[in-house]
Amino acid sequence: MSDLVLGIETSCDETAAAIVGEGSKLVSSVVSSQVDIHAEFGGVVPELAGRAHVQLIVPVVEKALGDAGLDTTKPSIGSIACTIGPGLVGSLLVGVSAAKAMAYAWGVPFIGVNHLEAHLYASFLADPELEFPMMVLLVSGGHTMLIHAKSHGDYVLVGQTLDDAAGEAFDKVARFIGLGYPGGPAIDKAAQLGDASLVRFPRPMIDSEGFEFSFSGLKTSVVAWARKHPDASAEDISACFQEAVVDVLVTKAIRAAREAGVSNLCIGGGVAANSALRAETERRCAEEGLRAFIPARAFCTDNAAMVAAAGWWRMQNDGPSVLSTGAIPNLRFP
Amino acid sequence: MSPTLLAIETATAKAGVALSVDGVVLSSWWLAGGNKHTESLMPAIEFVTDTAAVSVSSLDAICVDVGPGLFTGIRVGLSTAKGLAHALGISLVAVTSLEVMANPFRNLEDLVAVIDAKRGEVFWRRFSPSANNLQSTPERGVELGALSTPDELADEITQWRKEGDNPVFVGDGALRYQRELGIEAGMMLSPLFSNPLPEHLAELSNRAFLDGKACSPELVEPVYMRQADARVNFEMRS
Amino acid sequence: MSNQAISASGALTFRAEDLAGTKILARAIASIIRKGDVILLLGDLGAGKTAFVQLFGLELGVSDPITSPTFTLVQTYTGKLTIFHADLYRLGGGQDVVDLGLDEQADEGVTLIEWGDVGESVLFPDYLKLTIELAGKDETDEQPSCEGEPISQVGEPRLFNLEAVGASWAERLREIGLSEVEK
Repeated sequence: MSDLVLGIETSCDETAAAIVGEGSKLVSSVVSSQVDIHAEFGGVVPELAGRAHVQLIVPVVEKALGDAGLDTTKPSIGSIACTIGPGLVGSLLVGVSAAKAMAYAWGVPFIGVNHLEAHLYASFLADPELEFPMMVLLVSGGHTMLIHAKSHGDYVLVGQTLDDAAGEAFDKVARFIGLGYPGGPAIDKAAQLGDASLVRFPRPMIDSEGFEFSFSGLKTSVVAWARKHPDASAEDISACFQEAVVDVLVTKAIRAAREAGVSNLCIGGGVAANSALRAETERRCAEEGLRAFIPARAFCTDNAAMVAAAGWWRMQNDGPSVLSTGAIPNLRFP
Repeated sequence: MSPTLLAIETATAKAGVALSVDGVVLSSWWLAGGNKHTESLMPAIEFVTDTAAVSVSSLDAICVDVGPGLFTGIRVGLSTAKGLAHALGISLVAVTSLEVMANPFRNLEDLVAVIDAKRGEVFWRRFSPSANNLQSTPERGVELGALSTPDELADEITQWRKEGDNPVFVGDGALRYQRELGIEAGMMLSPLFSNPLPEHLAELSNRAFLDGKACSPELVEPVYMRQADARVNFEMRS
Repeated sequence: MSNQAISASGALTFRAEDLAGTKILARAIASIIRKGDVILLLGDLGAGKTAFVQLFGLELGVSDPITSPTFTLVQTYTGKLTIFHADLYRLGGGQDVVDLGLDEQADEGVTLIEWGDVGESVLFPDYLKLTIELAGKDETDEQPSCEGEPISQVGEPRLFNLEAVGASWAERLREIGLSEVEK
């Protein structure tokens, strides 16, 4: 049996497929937003994910197989892993349906994967030598959580956001100060030209006892300040806001790792692509004598390689999923 | 050629699967009122092919109802169909829900198929010599049907009657709005046929397949019909 | 809530001095909610739309933390009724909204839609439109009202404008008895 896993991801905006060997060796990875859809597949690109996924699922899988040098209709793969949740039901079911159909037709196991668990496995793509236990800071547009990962499949939720995810705060602040959508990369870029010492925004819950986060108040605070200071530049506001978010995230992640007694700290999720968060995690971990695992940017944002990696380990530990597996939009993690 | 076809019907709340050889349905399955299409479809395909003792590798094409109907159902059916067709290296036959529903009654002179589109609207299409016939498919043209309120359809019906036509009705939309549409009991076909059924999809698709209307899975898209023009200026949101 | 506050069109305004006031409104609406209901939530960034949904969810016995669905678009919670919490902020137009399929699942629970104006014209014939605005001090003197606390602790005065669109809500709004009404 081949140790190659075909990973499929359609939980949100991206249609993605990837081939990964033994849960960590990247062979190919295709993400729909990174390919020129017009050029590759022709036709009109629909406005929203749900519709686009139906159109893109087969071409994206074909490209991932082709890029891996596999026969696109009779590939020698060992299994197919697909995100079953959490996410948008109309998007998830496209991947789940197509993945189950292909698994059945090719006679290989189907493995349902939790999207959030997959983000954690992006760290294995960065460094196959990574070992449990570890503290994982999972931070994206929809989630902000600290997970104590003790071994494959054994996770404890240490803390999460009480309101907005960090990525959402990025998006909303970016839009308010006129940087547009998506806000994460825009603020990252603007902040590099800004002065982070202009104003000190609040660090919500940074000293609170537990490991909960809150970014809604910070967002409101930034918006209120920006309204009062119409002359402040978007660059400066970005720098100050980003510094506040990163400070909270890294401070709490390091404290959580310390309290849990683990020496590995991983970051994952779309916000883990942020330059300041990456640099600050690196710096503070070095200071604190922790090992930082920071996946390549392409594997922080939604991708299928992490799904294939997570699927491989899930298969080793729990075996395949049944064909009656459905999409679970509010799938919990851990 | 005697094609072996797998038909996937998920355009409405009644989801089903049928397996046919040369236009004869060997086995079929359907489930009414479920919204568990994602969960039930693959096990059903396994059941239908197993009970008919047909291996998926001997399929000549996958047939799928591309709507109009329920968005989520159509996505499940079409994604499954595309996945199977790609993996088996075979083509897809795409037909519309209204054609599937009208198919068993194609000998009737004048038939209107009406699907409940929810939100107080119906998808409908009239099949009569004066309208169009059953042959068109999405990739060939625009004969997909129409989206109207029951009142708008009632106006159409009144017009047809003025012209001396008195069509027969079928479909869950016609049943739901029977009173609004002014359909007499005698002009309404049995509720058994109120949804597109997989057996009828298989039969219709068999003819389409023999007519050379199968195509590459990438080319098939759902028929949504519902258009919305309202747009909001992003920059206004603060 | 006195009947006089309800205009002929079925609209009324409720003033909440703080979070406890918002809670009263959330409880009142929760008391008349039915399966299949749709509530659109409008208001500027930080007006308190998600905070309202959090309180409303508590009233319906949701135990999971309700977080913002801006990025995830739709989140589902289980309480006495299933709650579909959607946010159309990221969506550009009606077609995107239609694609979400909110209408297809609406009958199975209660749907609350933040930035629901994007979908207003295309989604539902019958809904409650809840517009929230901060009713604090004079806008120009306003200090940054929030020092970064979680939204569940924000306690500014707010005005809630309730507008019944379609028949079922107009009738029910007359049934709920709130006292802090401004004409």
